[in-house]
Amino acid sequence: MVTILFLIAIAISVIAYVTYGKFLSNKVFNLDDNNKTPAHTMRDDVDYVPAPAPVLLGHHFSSIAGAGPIVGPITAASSWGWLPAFLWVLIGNIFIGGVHDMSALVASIRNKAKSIAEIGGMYLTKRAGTIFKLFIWLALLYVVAVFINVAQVTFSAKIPVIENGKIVEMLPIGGGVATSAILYIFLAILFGFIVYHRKKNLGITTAIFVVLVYLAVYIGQLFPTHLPPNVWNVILILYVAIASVTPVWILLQPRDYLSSFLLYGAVLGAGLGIILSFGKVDMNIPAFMGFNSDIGPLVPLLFVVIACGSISGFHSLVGSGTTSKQLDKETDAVKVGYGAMLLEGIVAIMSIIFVVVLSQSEFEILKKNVAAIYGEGIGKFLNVFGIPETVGMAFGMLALSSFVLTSTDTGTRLARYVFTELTGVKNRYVATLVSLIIPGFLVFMKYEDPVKHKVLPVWKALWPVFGATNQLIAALALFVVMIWLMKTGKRRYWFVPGIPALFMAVITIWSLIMLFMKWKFTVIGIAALVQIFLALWIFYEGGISLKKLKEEEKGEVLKKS
Amino acid sequence: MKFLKSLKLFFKGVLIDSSTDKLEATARSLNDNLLTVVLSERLGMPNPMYYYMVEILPYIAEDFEGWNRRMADRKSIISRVVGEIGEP
Repeated sequence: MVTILFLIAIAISVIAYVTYGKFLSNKVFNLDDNNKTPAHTMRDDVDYVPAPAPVLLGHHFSSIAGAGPIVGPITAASSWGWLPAFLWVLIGNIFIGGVHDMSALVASIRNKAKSIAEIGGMYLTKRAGTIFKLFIWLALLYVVAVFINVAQVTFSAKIPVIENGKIVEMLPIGGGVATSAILYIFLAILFGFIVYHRKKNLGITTAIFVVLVYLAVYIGQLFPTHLPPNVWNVILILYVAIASVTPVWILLQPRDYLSSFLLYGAVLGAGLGIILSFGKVDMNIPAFMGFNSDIGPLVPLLFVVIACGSISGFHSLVGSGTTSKQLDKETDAVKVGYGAMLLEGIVAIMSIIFVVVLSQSEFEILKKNVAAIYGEGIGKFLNVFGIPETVGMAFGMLALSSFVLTSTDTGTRLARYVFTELTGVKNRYVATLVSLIIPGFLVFMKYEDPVKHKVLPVWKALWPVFGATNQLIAALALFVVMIWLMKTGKRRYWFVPGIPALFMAVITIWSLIMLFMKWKFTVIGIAALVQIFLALWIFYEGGISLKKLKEEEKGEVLKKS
Repeated sequence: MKFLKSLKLFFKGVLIDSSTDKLEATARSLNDNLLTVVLSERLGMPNPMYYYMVEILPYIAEDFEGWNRRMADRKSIISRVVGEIGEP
């Protein structure tokens, strides 16, 4: 049954790519290979150099794939059931997320590879730009806090060992993952030194180090490190602070590179395992668990909890940042922009499947631990190939923790740059320290629902706020694309980015209001309130620029007549 | 067969290209910054050392037009940096 669900998702994605993708390519954007892309017109063989579509698709997908399509869908499926999550991932990707990614890419290549933020800057006021930067800065801080907590929860994870339907013991598998994560960091630093500093051969060194990293999974289990959660929190914050100020070649680049082998090994292995497990694995978690959950109501929160699996604002910045400078032909935009998002949707669907195959008792214990659920899923489906479940689980958890830690590093670096742009403080240490105050504070807080007095883990409590902010960025990007379409004579297709933009804007504001009403004047409530205020201000500025646009058009019409 | 070739290229993009992309982007940015210090006169910033740096121009100003255009394009830090570092 799980295999059928997976294959249905793949089939729907392929059909959507061929039909809606074609509609976007031919009718909405009129992609024409005779128009030369900036990779050709501004070619400098440095960053403006054309890349073949499959290579660019791989690179773009690699840039946008992260822990988002894992944390979001697992949270949603374990709160409201798998069916709402499944439907939103597919429908959201096809009509909103894929459209968002692709249109940001196309708008960029038609505007000399300017980023969507700059194109928006042409249509929105300067003040809106400043509010937007503050908005992004806060989103980055929330995601750093969430991911530090996910890493801590991974390192403290305990898996129930079930025999004859009863829990026999709680296996503290997290300690082993922690040791392998520490080993992994040292391996990454060594790799960076050997390849980037000593310039040894990339291929051979990669082969050796990938084997070493996979071995680290096993060695970690032999020498686990058990520390209390708050100690992990302190260590992780220190790690992020140090890692994000070191030069890129020492830690960020080699980590990112080696973790691709971990993650794609896990994803491909588990994907194949899902297909080959036909009939052997049961679906235990119900399709629909109710409208209300510990996070809140399904509508509107489902749509913001699954952010990076359906739509994520940061993708437009990545796409219009580097990908648009390397696009070879205009028609490649469908493959790269739309295709990469659909692929990310498949990763999200796999995460949902991992929740579904948990047994009832496993689910009851693990639903507070997103990393353990993911590890269990990888472990179950790698078991189809004969790999022992605990090894597969440790492997999956290491893969997730490495992605998560790289994301905290990336997020802190970005936050430092945005802070510099906002305040003019150029000292990288001050900027990093200030940017880590809020996450450092958020990570140690306890999040107790003021009404029901249920305690939520940090990642589960903060994720909807981050998701809402991320979606609002996406709504803005779609709004900018809509204005660009209208200004370039494609008025009749305004609804293609316009309706998703409206939907996302309404849903995110509604979610933030709902979160504020649930959490009232606690930390999450105040965070939501600040985001509502900033978002409404941005919409107000957007409304003014739309009005100016209409007046300009009226003025032009009057001039002509 | 074309599909298999595309698949091979896809994995090249996923794995090989991500082995040095951030490194290259940072290095390019640093080179551009160095050139800005040397050739700041070209961007309208007075530089008393300008005439003394003429001797090193052939060594560092190979891609002069590209640099000039990239400096003119530097309007928003966030867009350049998310493209360089990636999304969190």
